[in-house]
Amino acid sequence: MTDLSLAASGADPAIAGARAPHRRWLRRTALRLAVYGVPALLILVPLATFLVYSFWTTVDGRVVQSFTLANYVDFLAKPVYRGVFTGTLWLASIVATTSLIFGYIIAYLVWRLEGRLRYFLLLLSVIPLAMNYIVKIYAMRNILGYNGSLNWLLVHAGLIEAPSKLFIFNQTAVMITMAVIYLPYAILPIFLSLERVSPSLLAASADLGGRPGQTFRNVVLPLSLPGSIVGALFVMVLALGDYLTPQMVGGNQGFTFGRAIWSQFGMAFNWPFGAALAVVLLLSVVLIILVAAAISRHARVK
Amino acid sequence: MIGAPSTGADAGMSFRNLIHLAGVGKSYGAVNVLKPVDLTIGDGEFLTILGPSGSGKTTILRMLGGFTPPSTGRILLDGVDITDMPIFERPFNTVFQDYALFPHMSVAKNVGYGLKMRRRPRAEIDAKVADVLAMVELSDKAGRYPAELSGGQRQRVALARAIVCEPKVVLLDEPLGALDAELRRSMQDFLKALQRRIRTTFVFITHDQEEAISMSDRIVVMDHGKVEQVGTPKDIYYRPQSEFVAKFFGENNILPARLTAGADPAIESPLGGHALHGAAPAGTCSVAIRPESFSLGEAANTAAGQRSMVGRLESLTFLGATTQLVVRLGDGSPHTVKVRLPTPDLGEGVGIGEAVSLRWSTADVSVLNA
Repeated sequence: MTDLSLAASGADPAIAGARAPHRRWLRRTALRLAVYGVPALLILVPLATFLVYSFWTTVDGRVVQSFTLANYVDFLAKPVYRGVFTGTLWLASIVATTSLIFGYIIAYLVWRLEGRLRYFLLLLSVIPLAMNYIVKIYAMRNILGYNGSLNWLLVHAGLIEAPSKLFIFNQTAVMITMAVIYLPYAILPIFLSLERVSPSLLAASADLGGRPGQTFRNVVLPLSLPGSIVGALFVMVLALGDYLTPQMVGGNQGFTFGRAIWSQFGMAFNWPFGAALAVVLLLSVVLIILVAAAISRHARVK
Repeated sequence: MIGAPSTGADAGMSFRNLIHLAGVGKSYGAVNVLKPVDLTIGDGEFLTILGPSGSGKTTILRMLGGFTPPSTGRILLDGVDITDMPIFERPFNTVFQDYALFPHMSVAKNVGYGLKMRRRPRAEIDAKVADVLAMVELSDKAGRYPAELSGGQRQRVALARAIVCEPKVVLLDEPLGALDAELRRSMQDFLKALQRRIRTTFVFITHDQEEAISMSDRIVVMDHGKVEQVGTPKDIYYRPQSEFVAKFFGENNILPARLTAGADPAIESPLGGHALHGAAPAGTCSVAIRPESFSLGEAANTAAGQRSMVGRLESLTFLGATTQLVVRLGDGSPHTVKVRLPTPDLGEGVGIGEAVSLRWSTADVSVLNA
């Protein structure tokens, strides 16, 4: 009995062994194909298409498939586009900085709380993430508009005589709206970087004679700032590509790079030029992300 | 840094009182984590608070350091009430269990942090940091970051950081817990030597009995939020006052006993009876005697204060330098004792089942409170 079962189990792997590696190879290849193939198909192929388009041109509204650098030369040569590009960079940096400052204050206050209230308030501050983007822009338009609640408040408070048009359909409106809409994107990473500051470090600082203000300056801020800046850069990336907010609250003044790209694909029907502008935007975003990665790596080493 | 001269473990009581915990207790809502404690800590003393986890030892340390306010009682430093003094004003520094080194600061910056907070001049900070780093043998690591150090080195940075401000008390919260056995051993010696050198009061938290016994001037044994006993290591080891303490340190024989009160209080146990000094309530209790407190010897040679008894050898285990015997106290007795003798004392003679004559001193029999 023992001999028999031994013989049987001894023979089995020999047969299975010939088939199993083959099947395993097949399964592994299919898996690899899925892991590398799906992202490639969904992300890299569209990007590559853009890249290719950006080196083509149009003649009489028709795309001509011949290699040219004309679109990039155009971008660099035309001050209009350069101006819009730097203006948008500037706008996005201001939005990022505003989000960093207000996001840090909110995240810090929430972080200092204890117990259930803390997570309730954190949830409350990121709930706008679950809301539709366009609804949020409309809400901001209602607040900032000529007949909006901000004007109503200021008039009733006696600070201004009549409703002001300063808050809507200009760059300021774009800035305020973006800063408000993207604030939750800043709060979350800032809160997480504050969470990584171990409570025992705060205890150690106090134990060594650090008053609350000293502890904040010497321990909390330096340890949470790198992560917070990364959060702010994330907001900057979002703001750079945004074309809806400028369109809806920016009026004539709110012409941003995102809108420029959008108009090339739309009204102007110059896809190759639009693609070239998109590649420029993509490269700047990649550059910002690299900066963010460098900051977080530097912070981790120490 | 003036005060008591460096003394051995036996002279634990010769310190000037520095801290007085007067009825200090802690409860969170209805949960009482520390029953009110009365305790004095001497200036320059190495005091260990020892207990299993959840015994309340860390709570005492946290209240001393100012991290948690006590629910009852006052904490006095040199007679001055410091119960409500904020952490950053207390002249105490802590070595944290996880070291709590600032990851974004170099070793030198970490060590100098306390002086910087006190706004000392730069030159003074540099000089003191260099001094203390030399003391912990880390002078060559001043520019490194905590992440680049080994566990033992981090430990010494934490220690240097805690002593650089010359605090009145250094609080150590299980600082050796994360180190491996060998490093732990050498850090114990290092810590003890450092404490003798700077003559600063150390309040040391541990759950390791051997560590407590080998390092401390006095030990506070705690269990379930209650101080079980306070005494020198020898007191705690040889004169436990409760069953918990008797069992906590190494092997012990615990036997049921009866106390008779009155003019001549006495204790009656399977080891016979003897008079007691001091009064105690009558009733059942237990006694403890260490396995190594026994020796072999005939009743005829018994000196004053000694007792002897003939028992029967049940088992014999050779442990190297010592041999452990299990002896039944008389035929048919339900009680056995463990006896530990230096192996050479045993000779060749005794076999299992044979009669052995045990001898002990009544002073080594501790009466335990229920």
